[in-house]
Amino acid sequence: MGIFAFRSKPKQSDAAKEFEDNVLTHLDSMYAVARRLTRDPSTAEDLVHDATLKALKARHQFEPGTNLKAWLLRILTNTFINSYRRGGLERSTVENAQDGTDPVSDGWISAASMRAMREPEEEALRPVLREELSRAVDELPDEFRVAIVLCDVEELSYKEIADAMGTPIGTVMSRIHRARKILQDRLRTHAIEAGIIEPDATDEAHENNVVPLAARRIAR
Amino acid sequence: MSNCRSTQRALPPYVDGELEASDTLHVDGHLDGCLSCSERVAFSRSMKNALRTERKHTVAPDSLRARIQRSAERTRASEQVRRPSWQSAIPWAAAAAIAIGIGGGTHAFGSHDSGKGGGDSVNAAAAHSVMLDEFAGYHARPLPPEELDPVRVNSIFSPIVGVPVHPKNFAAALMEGQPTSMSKFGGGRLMRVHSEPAATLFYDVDGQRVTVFVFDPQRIRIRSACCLSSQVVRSTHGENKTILVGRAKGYPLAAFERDGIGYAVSADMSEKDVIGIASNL
Ligand SMILES: [Zn+2]
Repeated sequence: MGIFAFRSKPKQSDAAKEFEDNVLTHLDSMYAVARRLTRDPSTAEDLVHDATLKALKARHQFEPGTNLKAWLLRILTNTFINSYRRGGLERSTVENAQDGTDPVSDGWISAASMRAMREPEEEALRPVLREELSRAVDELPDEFRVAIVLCDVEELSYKEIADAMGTPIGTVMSRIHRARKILQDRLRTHAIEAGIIEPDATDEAHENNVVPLAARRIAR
Repeated sequence: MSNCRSTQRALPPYVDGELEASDTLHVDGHLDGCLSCSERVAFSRSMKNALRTERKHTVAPDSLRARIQRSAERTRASEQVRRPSWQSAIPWAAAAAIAIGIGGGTHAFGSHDSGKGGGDSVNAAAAHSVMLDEFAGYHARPLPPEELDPVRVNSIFSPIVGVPVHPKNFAAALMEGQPTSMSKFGGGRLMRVHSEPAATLFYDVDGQRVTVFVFDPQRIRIRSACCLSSQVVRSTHGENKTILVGRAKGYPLAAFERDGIGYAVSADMSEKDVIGIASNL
């Protein structure tokens, strides 16, 4: 129908084509994020297709000089939330369950265990844990997965993620933080099962982190 | 130990490069002497790196690129032809009662100046998903209009809602940007959102339903509604405007405030088109 399409002038077709070319340079990023969000290759393709066309139609809303990739990922995220899920991003039971509690108190991992889960001398996980991490990300609740994917996979800023998800920055930070806790916990469990690490000594954990919140306030 | 604890709180933003320079230096200083915190940073980075590496190995299929290019070409070639969006699968029949009710209706509208003055800055915020659901619900399942005459809608509804309601102005604004499109006012009705009154105005724009809500933003605090993201858009007059955008009940909703009046729009259209309407109202 195009009634609300902004007035198109003949010369705009060149500009439209140029914009399209710019957008398509970010296709791999969009596809990678879509794969993570939808967890399914063909759904990911549909999502990227729909989001890209939306972006092309909305090109007048893009402010030149700002981050095009972030803008595209915002549209992609919005399209995912609005059209590929029913009912938007509901607060998950995980998020609700952890409200008011200290997320640090669960799944504490000792420095020695963390070191054992990495490749020696490298900031890289052991291969067996990389696969587990990938699975664990897929199993995160949607709002955690969106946040962690935009942050870690595409390295958007907290502000850009907040814009994409339509939430305050504080919510983004808490989702990323909690998502990492969940992922770390999964890795730790898997590492114990794989015999890479021993269960951490509880007294060490207690000393560092598992002091009840009230006791900790007094101790402060 | 308290030093470790306060450092650990800063580690996620540190690892993500979101810490202020002074805080970053502070953390750096602590990490120099603390093996435990350094190990946490290294572990967090190794997790980030793992996800990042996997992403580098993900390449969009050529068939997807080609498909997008074909679609984009089609869109460019004919601005009039639009892929059926999934929203339009929701039957117009739901509104049949109203469409019939419009009847002899009100076709000619004066183009009053709709007061396109300074754009009120509206912040995206939290809480009350119910509000979004209520607005969208009134579009999704419209009730028959109470009043068809736009002048009477104004005189009856304005005192109740607490802000002026001018159905005619919107009918003109809905045609903004495309002189050929037809916009018909299909009557109005008072609704309650969070038990506060909102004038609900029904329009038919080229066969698609558009619902415009007019309300007092002091009573219906759309700014505090949850699940709305704020976007700055430019109207066809070149005016920048901040619009809150969300979706509920399968319909997009765009809301904004201007001159102490709250407006929300939902329609049988894509989100982009609804934002386009809101930007021109
Ligand atoms: Zn430390």
